[in-house]
Amino acid sequence: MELLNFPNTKISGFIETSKRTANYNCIAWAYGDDTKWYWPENNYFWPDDIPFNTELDSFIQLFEKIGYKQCNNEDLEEEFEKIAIYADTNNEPQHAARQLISGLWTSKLGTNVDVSHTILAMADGLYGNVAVFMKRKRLKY
Amino acid sequence: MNVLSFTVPKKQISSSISHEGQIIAGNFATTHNLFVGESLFLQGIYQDVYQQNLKKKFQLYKNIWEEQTLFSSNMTEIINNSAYLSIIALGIDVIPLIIQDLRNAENHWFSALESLTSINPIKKEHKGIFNLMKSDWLEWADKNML
Repeated sequence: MELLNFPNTKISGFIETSKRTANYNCIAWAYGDDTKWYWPENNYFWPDDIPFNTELDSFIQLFEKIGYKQCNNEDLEEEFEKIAIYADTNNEPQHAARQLISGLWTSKLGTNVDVSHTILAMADGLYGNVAVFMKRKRLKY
Repeated sequence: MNVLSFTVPKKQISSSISHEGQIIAGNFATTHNLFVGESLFLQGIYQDVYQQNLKKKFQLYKNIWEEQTLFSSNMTEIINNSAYLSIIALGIDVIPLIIQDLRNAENHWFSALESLTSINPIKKEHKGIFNLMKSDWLEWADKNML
């Protein structure tokens, strides 16, 4: 799957893995929740104890809440699961992706579909680039 | 308004028309307005044309909004998209069209509905859960016969 908004998909395409839905977004999907739309905006889900703003640090705190800690790279480590937060040039989060056991990453594209992809495929596109990688011990390792 | 004392705003009429011509043109306009104002038939036609134009504009802006925000998770960006704001700017007459779309599709109309009605029926525990937010608004719509 090649998309104009993500120029690197010419080199490394997305693999569509779900039907289109507006029920959840990429933040929820990376968080492991496909039932809600997470965003610090009136009417949408955002935990009460996380700052209600779109600063990168608030999103980092969101993932720290479920055990993630910042790490240096996207390398596959069998005993850890990783997420990546993408931010625009203002360092404002636009997207999050979660690493699969295969080493590929899974993302929900807005109100569109879920895809599997490489880190390269998503880079330099609509969501900017990875601002932070985070990891936590796999729950069932 | 007293038709006989009708005065023509200078900017609306070409200066090449005489003063008498301007008075006659003004009287024609007033007579036309009075006639249309009292004609249920013409009111009906005008209402149909208005509704058709409203639907066309709604569909146009909706298509642009969907296309421009299809890949966005950023709800702040989605509800501040210029096409979305243009739909809100259409005013309260657009509410039935939004409700109809909400019944048939998965579109995040909640912020627009709140802006247009100044109310928010979404329960706190339903925040972020699309189907429950949708149900809350459709329940409001049913109560208001929309």
